[in-house]
Amino acid sequence: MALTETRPETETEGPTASPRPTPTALERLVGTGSYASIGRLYIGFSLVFAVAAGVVRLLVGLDIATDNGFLGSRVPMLNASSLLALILLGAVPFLLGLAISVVPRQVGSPSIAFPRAAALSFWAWLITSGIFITSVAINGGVLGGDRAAARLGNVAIGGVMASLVLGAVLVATTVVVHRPMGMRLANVPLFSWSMLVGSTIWIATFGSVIAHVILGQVSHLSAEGLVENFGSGIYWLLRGPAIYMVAIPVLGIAGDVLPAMTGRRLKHYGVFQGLIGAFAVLSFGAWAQLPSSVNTVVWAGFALAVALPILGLLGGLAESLRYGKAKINGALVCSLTSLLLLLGGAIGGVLQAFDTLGTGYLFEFGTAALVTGQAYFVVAGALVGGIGGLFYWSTKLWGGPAKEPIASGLGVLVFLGGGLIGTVLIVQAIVQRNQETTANQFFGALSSVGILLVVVGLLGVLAQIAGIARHAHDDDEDGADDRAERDPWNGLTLEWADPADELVTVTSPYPLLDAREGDEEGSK
Amino acid sequence: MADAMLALPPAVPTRRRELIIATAFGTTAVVMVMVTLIGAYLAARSGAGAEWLANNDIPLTQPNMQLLTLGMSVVTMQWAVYSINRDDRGHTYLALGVTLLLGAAFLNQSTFLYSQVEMELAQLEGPLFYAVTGTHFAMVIAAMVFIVLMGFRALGGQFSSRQPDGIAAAAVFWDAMVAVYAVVWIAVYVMK
Repeated sequence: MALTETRPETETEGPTASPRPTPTALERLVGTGSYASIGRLYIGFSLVFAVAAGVVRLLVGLDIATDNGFLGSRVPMLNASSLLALILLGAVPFLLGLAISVVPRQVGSPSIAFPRAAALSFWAWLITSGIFITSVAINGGVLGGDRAAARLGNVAIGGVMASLVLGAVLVATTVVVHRPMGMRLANVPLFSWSMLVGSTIWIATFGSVIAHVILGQVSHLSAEGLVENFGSGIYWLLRGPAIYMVAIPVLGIAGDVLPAMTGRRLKHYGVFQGLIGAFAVLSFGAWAQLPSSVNTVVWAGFALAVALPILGLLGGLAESLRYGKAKINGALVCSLTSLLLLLGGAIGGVLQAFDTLGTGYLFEFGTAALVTGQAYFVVAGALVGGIGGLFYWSTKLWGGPAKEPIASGLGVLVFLGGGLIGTVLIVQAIVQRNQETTANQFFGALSSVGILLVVVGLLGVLAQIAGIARHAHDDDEDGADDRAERDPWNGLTLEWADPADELVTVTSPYPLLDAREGDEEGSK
Repeated sequence: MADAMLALPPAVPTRRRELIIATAFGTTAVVMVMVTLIGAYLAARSGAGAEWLANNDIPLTQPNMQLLTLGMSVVTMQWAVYSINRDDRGHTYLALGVTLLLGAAFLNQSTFLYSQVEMELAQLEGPLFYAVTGTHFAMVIAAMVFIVLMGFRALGGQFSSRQPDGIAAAAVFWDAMVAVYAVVWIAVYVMK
């Protein structure tokens, strides 16, 4: 048994053994090795951190809109730190937590690979996230003016990424090793597949960024030096193609939600896997770290091509919607609208590609606003897609279904907010060509409205989760055990298999649908 | 007694390849760290031109010996994997011990090389030189710790021809470390 595995309860207590003290709730929380609990902790805290990052960005927007400079010289630091926090403390851990909770179930495994390492990943991420937030508060983070605080922020970024890499390693290992007999990689549910390819990209990309964190520390840089280190070594993470890696799992969520809502299997399953794989490959951006890389044909090709897998997936899902009557709910709305947000990000990338054709800049768009707009589109897409997954697997994660139509409304709210801030920033980049400041306050006000919608939507999601969990707890105490509540969608993939049912044979991506169809044929 | 034995729950089956696959993914991240650092080193050297290492003399003797040392360690590491796959525990421990010895020799040569080079951190080349070689130094230490842990588990009887994963996983990380050093050797020491 590996040291990081959970030790089985093999000790038998004799009549003379002293009774074990019952662990307190806090002890259970801190000492948990349950993949479901670790996933839930990741999801809960990442949503809280995303709200916090949104509030900081809201303050930045208000500062710009009112033009009274109440944030002083900290605006660039808070602007960049909040976006980085939305990615590293919000979207990525949110999707990782979802994967830690769902992927083992999807591949029919009793647990994630190395559950205690998963716990280590979460606690290390939580602590380093706290350090990053502290560094932002004392003028560090990224682009901060205080040297000690900025160095603290630099270390925290490295710690956060190392923790996420560990989590991604475990998820990818679970998909590769923990599959049951018959489940070839070609039969893996699309969310698990997207996590396998997405984790691989996360591992490689974050590894590359950690190298610049090490350089920043070894160099004993001043605050200005760290700003330069961020610009030359870490900033590429926020622009295409690397930014798209944040949203790779979203494609898998959409690919799993839609068949469950229509009750039909996806035709040409391999094509869907190929599209997700292509999106992952096109989101690998570690090769494009140098500022001059945006002037290359390869970079422009990546920026243009990344829209194709999204369009292909949307087209394939739309074809499936055409032939199957779908249940419209928050999960479906979120998973489809998240793809629209990714397309918005792709538009931002295409504009950058046109602007940087050849040497220099063709149209002199506001590069910073264009890159940030693209990033907000993609991050919002990741959050909305993740919320869709949260609602879809709600009974597995929190013990009860999401409440409609509130769930759909919350998804739409985050979609509108993310779409608004992304659009505003891209339009701002076009209007404010040649470093003009035309209508700066107007754009600041509109982006504030956008981020406010996102924050309100995320708070609503947190309230919804708390409500479901409380309701499920009450039901447990009542002894209620409704099968329809455990599987409200009549799910097709392995995570919806009921322990009370016979074991299913896995010969396709939809073993439960196979079993049902086999039963129907047998009864004829 | 028999009832007590029957009351025990079944043992959790150990999944084959779990540790190897996880190690391969983890190694990918570490290799990416090193590749990025070496890329940054080469980019900075290219930008600096003739000024690069103008005030330092990096001898090639130690780096060559280090490469030779690590090259031999790849053989001894594979010897350990070969032995555990054939339940030859004595040779497994011997091979792991020799690999650790060669790793320690590499670290010793590294510290000697640092004293020979006399590179200041404040120099233009200093941060990148120490970031590249220092991170690899840390990678060697991590690989040695990995071998020690797996060696103790082998001593505890956890690995055999039926379950050789721990030793094989340590070999994956060790071999990647050696491959990275080969790139460091060319990029930092040979091409200067």
